[in-house]
Amino acid sequence: MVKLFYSLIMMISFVCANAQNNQNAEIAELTSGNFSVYKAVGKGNDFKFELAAKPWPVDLKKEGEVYTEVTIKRAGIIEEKYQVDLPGCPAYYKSSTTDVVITVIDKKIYYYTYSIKSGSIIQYILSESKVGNYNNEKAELDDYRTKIKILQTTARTERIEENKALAEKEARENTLEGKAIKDIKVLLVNAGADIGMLSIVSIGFEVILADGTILKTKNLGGKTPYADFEVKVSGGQYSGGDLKVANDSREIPNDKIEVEAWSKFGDKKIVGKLSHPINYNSEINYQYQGASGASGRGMTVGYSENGQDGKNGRSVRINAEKLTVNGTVISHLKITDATTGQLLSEAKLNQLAKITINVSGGNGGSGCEGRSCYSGNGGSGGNAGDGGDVYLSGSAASFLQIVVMNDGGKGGKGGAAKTTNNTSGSNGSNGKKGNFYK
Amino acid sequence: MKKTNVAITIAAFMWLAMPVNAQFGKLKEKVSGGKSGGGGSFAELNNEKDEMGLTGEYHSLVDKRAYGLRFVKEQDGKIVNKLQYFEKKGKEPQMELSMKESYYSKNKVKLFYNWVTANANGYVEVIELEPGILAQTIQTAESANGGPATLDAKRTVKDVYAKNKESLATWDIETAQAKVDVVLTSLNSEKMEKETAEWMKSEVFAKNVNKIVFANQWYHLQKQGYPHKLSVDGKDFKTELDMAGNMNFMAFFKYPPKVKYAGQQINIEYEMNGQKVNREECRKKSAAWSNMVKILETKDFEYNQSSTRAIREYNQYQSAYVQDYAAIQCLYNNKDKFKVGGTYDLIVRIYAHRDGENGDLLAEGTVKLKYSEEAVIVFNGDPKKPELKGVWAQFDEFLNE
Repeated sequence: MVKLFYSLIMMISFVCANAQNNQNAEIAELTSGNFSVYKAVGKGNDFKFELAAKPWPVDLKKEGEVYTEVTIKRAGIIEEKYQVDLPGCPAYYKSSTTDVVITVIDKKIYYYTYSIKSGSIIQYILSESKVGNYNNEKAELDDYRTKIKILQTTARTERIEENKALAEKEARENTLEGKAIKDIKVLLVNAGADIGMLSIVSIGFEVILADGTILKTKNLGGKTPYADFEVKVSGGQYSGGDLKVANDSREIPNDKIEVEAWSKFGDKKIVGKLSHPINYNSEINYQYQGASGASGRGMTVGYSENGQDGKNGRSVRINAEKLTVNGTVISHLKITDATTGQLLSEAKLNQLAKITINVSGGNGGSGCEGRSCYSGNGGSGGNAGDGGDVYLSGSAASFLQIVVMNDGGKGGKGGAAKTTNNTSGSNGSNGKKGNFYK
Repeated sequence: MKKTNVAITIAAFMWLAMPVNAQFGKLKEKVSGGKSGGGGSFAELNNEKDEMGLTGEYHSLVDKRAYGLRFVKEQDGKIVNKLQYFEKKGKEPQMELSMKESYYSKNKVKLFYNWVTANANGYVEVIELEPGILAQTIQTAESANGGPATLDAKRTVKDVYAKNKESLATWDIETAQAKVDVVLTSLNSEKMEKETAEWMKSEVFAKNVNKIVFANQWYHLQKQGYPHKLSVDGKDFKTELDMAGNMNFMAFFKYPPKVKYAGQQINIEYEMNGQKVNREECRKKSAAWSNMVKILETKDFEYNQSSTRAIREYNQYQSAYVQDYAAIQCLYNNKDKFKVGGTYDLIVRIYAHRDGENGDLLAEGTVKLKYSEEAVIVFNGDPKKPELKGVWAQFDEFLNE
C-alpha cells in the first residue's frame, strides 16, 4: 500500500516536474548541513541582504522519493520543523505554529512569509552561494510560487478527490438516509436551569439504529447532519440544533418548550419527543422606539435635501400580575399601546429577571451636505421624536425589575455649506424625554 | 507682560528638562544604533547580588563597550522591581526600566521596558535570554500604552549584552533574535489561552464557540468598535430570518484564526438543499466574480469573533444593499423551489483555506430563511414599480456580464 502511494506520488511528480522543478527536485540538489545565512534588513520596500555571523544547520528529511520535512536549526539553537505542503508536487514547507514557509530554488533556501495578495516577504536566504538583490530574489520566489501552483493542479485535484471521498464515506456512515431506525431521543444540550423568553437552547438528536449503532448530531459529539431531521417545535423557533424561545408568552403553550423530531427520509414511524418546562428566568427586552428620520439626499430623485423627522416612541401600558408557573411565582405582563389599547405582546418573567422597555424617540435625519445639494446650501436636520410614556400597574408591578429607556431622540445635524457663499442647514430640535408612571 | 511670563516659563522648563533629555539622549542614540555613551568599567557591580541574578557589568556586542545594570527590588519601603542602566559611573543611573511582573511570575520571562518618549522609537526593552545574556530590542509600531509594547509588536534585536565577554561569540544578533522570537511565541500562546479562557466565561461565547450566529441587524451581533470584545447578550440572535430584510451573521472562534491559521485564507461556504457554493470557487470563475468576491485572509480575523458579515443587508453608509455574491448564488440556485411563506435551511460554514483547498472547519451555523410575501417583491421585483429591478434580475445581469 505504501509502495503504491509513493509510486502514485512519483507519477504525479513526473507530470508536475515537466516544466518547472518541484521541491523534491530542487531539494535533491542539496545535502543536509550548515548553510550561510543572508538576512533581509531594511523597511518599507527597501531591503538588502546582510550575511549573518554564523551558519545555520539544515536537515532535509526524505521518505521514499518525497522530501517530507525540512528542519532548520535557527541560529544554531532553535529547532524549527517545516512539513511538505503537497507531497505529490511540493511548492513549500510549512510550519504548524507560524506563517513562515520554506522553499528551495536553485540551491537557495528561502525562509519567508507569503500572502496571496502581496506575495512573499523574505526574512532569510540560506545559501552557499551569494544572493542577489532583494527585489530580484523576491521576484524569482513570487514567480516560482505562481507557476508551481499551476503545476500542482493534478496533485492537488488528486488530494481534493481523496479528501472528498473520505468526507463522503463519513457522510454515508452518519446520515439517516437508508437506515432502519429503532429510536430517536431529543435531548437538551448543556442547558442551564434558567430558560425564559428569548433564551437559545441547544437541542441534540441521538438516533439508535436497528443494528444498535448510535448516531448523534454535532452538538452531542456526532456527525449526523441536523438537516437529516424534520423538526416540529412549540414555544419557539428551531434551526440547526438551536431553539430560540418565543418573545411572546402566548406562543409558549403550557409554559413548555416541546420538540418532535423524525427522519426526513422515513415515514414518520419513529418520532423523538422532548417536553421541557421553563422558569422564565431570562432577561428580555422590547423595542417600541420611534424610527429615526432618513438623512437628506441631494440630487436624488424622490428625496429632499433636508433630514426627515424622527418618530415619537410608542407610549405603552404594562399590566403586571403575579402568577405561579411550573412551581415558580412569576410576573405575567400584558403590554398594550397606550393610545389605541392594542395588545402588543404578552410576557412572562421570573422575579429575578429584568425587562427592558425601549420607547425612546427616533433621531432626526441629518441634512444633506452642501456639496451634495443642488443649491450648495446645507439641508436642515430633521426634528427628533419624543420619548414615549410608560404606565406600569398590577399586582406584580412593585417587584418587577424594569428598565425604561424613554429619552427623546437627537435632532438631525444641519448639513455644512458647500462654499462660504452658501448657508449651512439648521440643526433639528431634540425630542423630549417621556414619563414613567407607576 | 503676559508674553514675557510665557517666555520665562518656557525657558525655565527647557532648562529643567535639558539634563533629563541629555541623559536619555545618549540612550536614544544607542537605542537607534548610533554613538553610545558607554565606556569605562562597572566591575564593582559584579560584587552585588540580587535575587534575579541580573546586577553586574555587561559587554555590548555592537559597540564593544561596558555598561552597568542593577536590579532594584525595593526602594523606600516599596517593591519597585526595576532595572537601572548605567552608561557612566556614578550613583544615578541613566535610565530605569520597569519589569513586566506577570511575565516573570507566570512564565519566568525577565522583560524590562521604558518609554523614553511616547513614540514607538522611544521604546527601550531588555529581555534576558539566559543568565548573564540580555537582548535589547526595539519595535516601530506601537506608542506608549502604560505598559510594555504588546505581544503583537514585532521586536527587532539591536544589541546583545553579556556579563562574560566570551559569550558574545555565541550570542550574535541572529541568535538573540531567534531566542527572543521563542520567548515571545511562548508568551503569545499563554496570552491566547488566557484570552480564550476569558471569552469562555461568557455564556454567549461558551454556547456558541465554533458556531455562526445570525441576526437581522449587524449591531445585534457586535457593537461597533468592539471587534475584540463580546458586547451583545445574544437575545437578538435569530434562528429564522426574513429574506426581505437584512441577513447578517458572525462566527465565534475558539482561537483567533490569525494566530491559529497564520498565513492562510478564509473560505465561506453556503449550502441550501444540498447545493453548496463557496467564495473561493466563485472568485476564480471570472474577473467579474473576482471583483465582487474579495480574498479573505486569516490575518484580518484576529479575534475570537469575526467581523459581522452579510448574506444581504442595507448599508446605511453606502445607501445601498450589499450582498455576498456567493450567498446570493446559493439562493439563486434554489429560487425555483421557494414558495411564499416557506422556510429554507441555509447552512453557513467558515473554513481555513490554503492554495485552493479547504482546511479546518472553523465555524458552522444554520438559519431558516423565510420567503415572505415581502421577500417575493424584493427578489422578484415589485409589479407596481417595474423600473426597480428585483434581486434575481440584478443577479441575472451580473451573471451575463
